[in-house]
Amino acid sequence: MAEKRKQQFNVYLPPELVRAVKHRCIDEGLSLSAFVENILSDYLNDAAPDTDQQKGQ
Amino acid sequence: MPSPAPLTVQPIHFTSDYAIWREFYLKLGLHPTTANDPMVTILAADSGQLMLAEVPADHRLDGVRLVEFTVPDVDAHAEALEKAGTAAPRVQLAHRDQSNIALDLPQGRVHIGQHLTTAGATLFDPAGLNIGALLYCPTEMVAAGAQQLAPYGLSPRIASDNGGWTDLTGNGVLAFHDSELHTVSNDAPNQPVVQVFGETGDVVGLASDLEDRGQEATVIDESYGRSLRVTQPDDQQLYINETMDDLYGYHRLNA
Repeated sequence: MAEKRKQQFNVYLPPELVRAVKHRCIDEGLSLSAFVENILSDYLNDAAPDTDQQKGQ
Repeated sequence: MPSPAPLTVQPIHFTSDYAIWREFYLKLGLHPTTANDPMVTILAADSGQLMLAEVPADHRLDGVRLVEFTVPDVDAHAEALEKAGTAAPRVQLAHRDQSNIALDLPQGRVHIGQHLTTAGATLFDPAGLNIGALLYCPTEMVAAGAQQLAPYGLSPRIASDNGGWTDLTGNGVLAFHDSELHTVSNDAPNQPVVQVFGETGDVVGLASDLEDRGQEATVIDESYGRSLRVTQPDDQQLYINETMDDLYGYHRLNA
């Protein structure tokens, strides 16, 4: 199967959070990219957006 | 017992696109040396050096990277090893004037030979660009390969707690990393294929230098630190890792 296309995704985060995320990646034996992809995908799949808040109500 | 002289790590890159790759490695920051033959040239980093060898386009080694190690005096090195109780069997390679020391690692055979140039024979230093080889192999071979190679003149430095990474420094850097091992037949029937890689203490500064030279490069975060990814002429990425300052999940072997 063809590998999914990836692109770089730059964000600014507190250094302490970056460090903690990297340590967790090592604990879980995952690359940083795979770890962040899993977290973001799970969040987007599980957490429905608050539509009222989105509309500013 | 005195330690043997440090080995110079010398990846060998075989290519039919000799001029293009020579230009790439010069842009990367390697320097021309006196070992500059039309078909074989050695380019030096601040520590470690790379041999670029031209082969025909249909040659089985076109695009392959191997690794060898060099010393100022291979006879003296072999003698010092044997005095220290380390075997130093010699083999005569077809294209070398002097016999080499043959070392059979779990990953395959590598050779220690006489320097053609000492330009890259400077000890590893994060202040500069250190060039070397990344040897992918099964996890069970990672530490074993490093332990077997170390007595010949490299210093084990950092290993991952999970056993998937061990690196050694000398003049240049060599790392064993868990993944699939590939070997080819060249000077011996089972020589391990490597990737050229590098290390420096300042990947952001190097990225800026590379951009100034017109070479595309991007710094990315990895779990183990940061890495500069340099786009090579074959569209593959060359990794230049930033010297680790956070050893979470890793440990020093040279403390």
